Amino acid sequence: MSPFPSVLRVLASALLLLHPPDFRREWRAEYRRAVAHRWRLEVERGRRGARTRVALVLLTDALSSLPREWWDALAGGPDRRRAPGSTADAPRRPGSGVGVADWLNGWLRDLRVAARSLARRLGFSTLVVLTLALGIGANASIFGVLDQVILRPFPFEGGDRAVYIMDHSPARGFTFSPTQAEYERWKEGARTLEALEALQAGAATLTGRGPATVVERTFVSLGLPAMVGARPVLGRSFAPDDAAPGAPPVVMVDEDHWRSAWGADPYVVGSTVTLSDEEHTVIGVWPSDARIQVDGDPDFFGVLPPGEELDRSSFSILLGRMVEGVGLDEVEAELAALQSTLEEDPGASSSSKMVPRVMAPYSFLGDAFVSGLWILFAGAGLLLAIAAVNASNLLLGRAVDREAELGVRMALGGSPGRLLRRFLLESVLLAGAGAVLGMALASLGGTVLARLAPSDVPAAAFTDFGAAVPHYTLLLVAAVAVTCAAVPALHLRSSRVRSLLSTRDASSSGSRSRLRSGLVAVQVALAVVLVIGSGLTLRSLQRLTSIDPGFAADEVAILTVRVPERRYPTETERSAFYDRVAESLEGMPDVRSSSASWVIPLSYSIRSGEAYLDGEEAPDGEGVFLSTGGIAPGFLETLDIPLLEGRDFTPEERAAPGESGVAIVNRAFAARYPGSVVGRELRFTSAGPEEELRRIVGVVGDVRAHSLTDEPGRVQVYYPEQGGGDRSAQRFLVRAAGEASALIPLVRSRIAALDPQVAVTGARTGREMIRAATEDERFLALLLAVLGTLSLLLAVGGVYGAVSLHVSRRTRELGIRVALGAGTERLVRDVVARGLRPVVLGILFGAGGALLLVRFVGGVLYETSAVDPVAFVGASLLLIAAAVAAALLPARRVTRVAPVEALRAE
Amino acid sequence: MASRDEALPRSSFLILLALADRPRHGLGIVEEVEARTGGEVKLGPGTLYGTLKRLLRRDLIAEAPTAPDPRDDDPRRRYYRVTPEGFVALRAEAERLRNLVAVAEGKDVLGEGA
Repeated sequence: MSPFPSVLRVLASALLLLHPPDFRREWRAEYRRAVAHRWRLEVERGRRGARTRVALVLLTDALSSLPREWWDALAGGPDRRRAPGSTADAPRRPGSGVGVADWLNGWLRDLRVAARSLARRLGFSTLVVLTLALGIGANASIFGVLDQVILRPFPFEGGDRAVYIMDHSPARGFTFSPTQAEYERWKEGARTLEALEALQAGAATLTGRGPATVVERTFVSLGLPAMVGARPVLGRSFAPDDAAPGAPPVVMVDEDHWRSAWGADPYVVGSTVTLSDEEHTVIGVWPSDARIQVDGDPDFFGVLPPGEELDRSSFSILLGRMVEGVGLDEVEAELAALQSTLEEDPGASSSSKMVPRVMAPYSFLGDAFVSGLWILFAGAGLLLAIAAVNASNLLLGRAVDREAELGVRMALGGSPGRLLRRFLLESVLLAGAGAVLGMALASLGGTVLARLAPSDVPAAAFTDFGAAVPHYTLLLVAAVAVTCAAVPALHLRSSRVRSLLSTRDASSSGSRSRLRSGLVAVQVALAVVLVIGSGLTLRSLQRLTSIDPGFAADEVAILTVRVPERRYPTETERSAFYDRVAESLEGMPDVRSSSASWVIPLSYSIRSGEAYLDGEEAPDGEGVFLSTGGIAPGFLETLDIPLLEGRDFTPEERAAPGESGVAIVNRAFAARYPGSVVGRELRFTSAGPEEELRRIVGVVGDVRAHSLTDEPGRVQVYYPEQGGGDRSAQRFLVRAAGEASALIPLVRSRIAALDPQVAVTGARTGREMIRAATEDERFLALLLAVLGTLSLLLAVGGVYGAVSLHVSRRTRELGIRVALGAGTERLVRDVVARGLRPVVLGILFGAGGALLLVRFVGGVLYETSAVDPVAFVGASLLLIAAAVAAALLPARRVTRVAPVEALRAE
Repeated sequence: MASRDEALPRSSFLILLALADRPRHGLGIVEEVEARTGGEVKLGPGTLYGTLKRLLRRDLIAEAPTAPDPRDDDPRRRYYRVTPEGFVALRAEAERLRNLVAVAEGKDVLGEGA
């Protein structure tokens, strides 16, 4: 017989204590016996984890029975019947139910008194509530985003263990879809994964319901809906028959899309939609809370055929669920080991070797955004701290006003505990009201934030608050209330009570004003940190936006034309259509030049490899990362990339790109070698594992190939391309004679005139592309600036309050000095100087703290050192200037002090 | 006193059901409920005694003056039994649930694919 564990005994006693006293008295023995009984039952079931199971039962039981029992205890009346023959140990006190109600009533009465006293000073209370609302609201809002994006991005069971898995080429630095063989091997053999399924995000053209639009469609493997608990809102999920070869095509429609585009039509199941010119039957509605992608919102879902889920020509990823207690590294190691048991592809070279990469879902949103979120979270925490300190300072001021009253109470025997309770209740009320207002602000702000946020973050992250947010807010309220209550209460307890009765501005005021100054200094220090952080991100953003992208961004427009495959089934037809589009574009009066090119700057359509001049040494190490791409006719002129030496490709070279044996390099490559590189041979690898040998025919200017933050010395190698194409979509670059944005609608109507069933997507100007590339940084800088401004306002508000109080308290002394002939100007300067002392102290501490903390921000800064002197000095000056202004306003009241009045005032 | 038409809370229903065939003491009720729900419902002490107290108050159960079980280690253990009013409430609730199950079956909710 296993001994009853002491931890359970303690837990049971504690839980029993939480019950109403009557319940305890009557059922104490039974309760204990029931716990022991439960222990025996669980041990019979299995010794392992019995303790946990029992604890769980006890806790959940307490959670559900406590409210009921307390309700009964308080509302219970004379019809309560005691069970006869009870084994209660102690004799029952008559009317014991009233004792509980009494205690509760005491609290309620204090609560009412606190509320009334706050209502009496409505202006003050409103100020505190607003201050706290700002801090709490900002925190709740950002925590909500953090929760939805990082902590629990997938609401399904075990969603916090969900991972994405892809193949990664360390040599090339890019990720690819895994292979079918890898998928099957991992699925059957991986012990660190509970489940593994595949998904493939893509687009399709929707026709037949208004003008042709492009919709997002994600294909999923058969087991995926069950894995993520996606129970259809209507209809059914995918069945094996749907994925069989030759089966009629089916789709599930996403719930959000169904509500917005179909008006939540209850008969949608069984209807047909035309996607990419193929009729699909709708079999069900996919629930919107079964999210499987962090950076996309599919409108439709399709099914992948089993055995062929991973088709390398489309980008697929695997969605897995780790077993509990396992980390990303362990999963990666196991998958790599399983992968090595597969047959090696004989043609593969070491440079195209792939290793599995296991990542947390939110990493799809980019490091910049994720780090930015954490930084904002810290910033909001700082803001809340400032708000709480500000509020406690205000409350301290108020408490002091009641010192005399409190002194009388305490001298007459009132308990300090009662005092604390009063303060606590006031703080709780203020913090609670602040939280309510703050949450309202947060949800209002949520819609604004959603619009400003980077486009790949789902808007729901800002507007749908998960269950965690209210809990977190409650935590904040508790913390703030305790802080705000503790400061004045502790101060009052420490000051000698009896001295309060005799003097007013006596000794305690010295320590009090030191405390107040200290609080101001704390606020300023925290504000300095935020303002410096904000300054750093602004500097970084400014540097980013002033990068020269290497092409004429303002005049260029980019768009993708997508043809439905049914109407253009052969390559010839598609290619012919694209040629017609190109011709039509060239003929437009506002178009300076155009190019049918899949390759565009600032995108990952340019791949990487190694390159060096034939005859020279190969670059040491893994090889220089370079960008390669095909240049279609018109690419250079359309983008206005300067041709520095040599020539562009000829049509003959373009017609046979594989045999042409020519290449164009960029300035950075040419700069590595003395003399001209034109005419010399180039060795490089790009698509295939073999090295290619090509003759350099021209040198062009540098372009930002992947992102704005590419290293400037990156080598770019271009090979000739036919332009146009025969795929289902083709990208076009257009250079406008004037503004690119005005050109886009004209181009759309031109193409619609050629064929209205063809969809035009992704139409944007070069400038918009660049803006999109800095979305994350801009979002972070903007929000941090808002936080910084708010913190600045709060901190200098604190300064204002402190100086103002000082002036009103020292009216008599100041009056005397004026009467004795002191210049008012001199007095004002003295007052301001005194008010600035804590500010200077705060700035010093804050700047010091910032030096320690900014290393965390360094990761998101571009070309800006974390200890950028401009940001530090600028922030300090800004704070001093603001503090001086805030101190001057009340200080100037000194000039209006009439000495006689001052002497009389007391 | 609850009217016949109000739905019984779950713990009350389960306890009445456990007492429907014979009187039991508190811990025996716990064991019976756990066995009958396949281990799913584990009545904790707070819920158990709180519900027993409320059922007693509403006269749906009563203390049963049975001879103590010789196997018991505690001769003072209290036994409970269902009262006639308790049976009425129990039957009404069971019928209510049976009707709902029939509706679900009619709508094929309990069929395949759920």
